[in-house]
Amino acid sequence: MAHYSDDELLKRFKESENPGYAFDLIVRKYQEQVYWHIRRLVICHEDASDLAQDVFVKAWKALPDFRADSGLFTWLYRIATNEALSFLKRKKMRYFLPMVDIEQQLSDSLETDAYFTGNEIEKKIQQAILTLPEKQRVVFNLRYYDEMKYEEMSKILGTSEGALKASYHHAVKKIEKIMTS
Amino acid sequence: MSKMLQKMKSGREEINRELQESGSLNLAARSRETGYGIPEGYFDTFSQAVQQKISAETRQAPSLVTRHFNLRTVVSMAATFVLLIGLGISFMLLRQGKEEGFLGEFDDHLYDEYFARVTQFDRTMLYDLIFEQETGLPETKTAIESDDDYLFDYLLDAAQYYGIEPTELITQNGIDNQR
Repeated sequence: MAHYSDDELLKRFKESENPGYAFDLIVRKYQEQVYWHIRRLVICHEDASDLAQDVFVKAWKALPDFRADSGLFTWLYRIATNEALSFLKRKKMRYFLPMVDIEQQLSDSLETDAYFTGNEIEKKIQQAILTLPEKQRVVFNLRYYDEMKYEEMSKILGTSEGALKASYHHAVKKIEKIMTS
Repeated sequence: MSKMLQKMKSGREEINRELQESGSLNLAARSRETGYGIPEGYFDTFSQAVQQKISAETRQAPSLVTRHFNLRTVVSMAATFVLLIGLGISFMLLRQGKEEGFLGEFDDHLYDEYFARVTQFDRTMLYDLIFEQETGLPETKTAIESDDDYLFDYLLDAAQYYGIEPTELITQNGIDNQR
C-alpha cells in the first residue's frame, strides 16, 4: 500500500469522487494503532474489536466536517480513548460494580482470555497496569507502549505536559513496586 | 537504517532513559510485548468489517419522514415527558426538604445539563450523567481508588489551581527530581 501523508488522505477524502477509497486507506493506516490502544484499555479482544470499528464509523460520519485543527492521528486517538473509557464507564454503571471490581474483572479475564498468549512476566505487568486508575493507565500505555511524546499526548488528552509527566511517573513507580514485590 | 526506524529507536531510548532515571529498571529492561494476541489475519479483514458496519448503519437510518412519525419515537417522547414531569417534581421536593444522601448532591449545574440534554434523552446519557455527577463526589467515599491515587489526583488539581508546575510533584526517593 502506498504511504500517504494524513494531509494527502484528507484531501483525497474531501475532494475525490470516491471518498470510500480514501477512507479505506485511512482505516488501513491507523487500524492497528487504534485497535491496540483500545485493547490495552478494555483487554478483551471482542470488545476492543467492536470499539475500534466504532471509532472508524464515527470518524467516517465526522470526517466531512473535520477541520484538521488537530492532526488526523491525534483526532483518531482522541475518539479511541473516549470510546474505550466510555465503554468502561457504561460497564460500571450497567452492572453497578465499584471500580475495583471492574479492574479485578479485567485482570481475571487475562487468565481466561483465549487471545492472551503472554508469559507470566507479561501477565504480571498487565495486571499491575490494571491496578492503575483509568487516566493513569491511558497515560502509561501511550508513553510506554506507543512511545508517544508528551506534547502529542497533551493534544489527545487535553492535559498539560507537566501533569502527564507527573501521572506517568506515579504510574511507573506503582508498577515497579508491584513488579518487585 | 531507515529514518522511521531511527526515530523509533531514539524514542525508545529516551523513554528507557527516563525509566532508568526514576529507578524503574524492571520496566526499562522489558520488551514492549503485552502478550495480547489476535485471530490470524485479523487486520486483513478489519477495514472490510468497518465498511460493513457503516453500510449497515446507513441502511438502518430511517428517513426524515419515518423518523418524525415513528410510533416508537412518539411513545419515547411521551415517556420522556412524563419522566421529566416526575423528575421535576422529585427535584423540587428534594430541594425544598434540604435533602441528604446521594440525591442531595445533585446541583443546579446538573439540572441545567440534564434539561439541556433531555431533548436527546437516552439511557446511556442518563448513565453518563449520573456517573459524571458521581465522580464529582469525593471518590474516597467508596474507596474506589487507593488513597495514594486519590491524593495524587487531588495534588495535581491543586497544583494546577495554584499555578504550580505539576512535575514538581515528582520526587525520587523523597528527593526533588527537578534540575
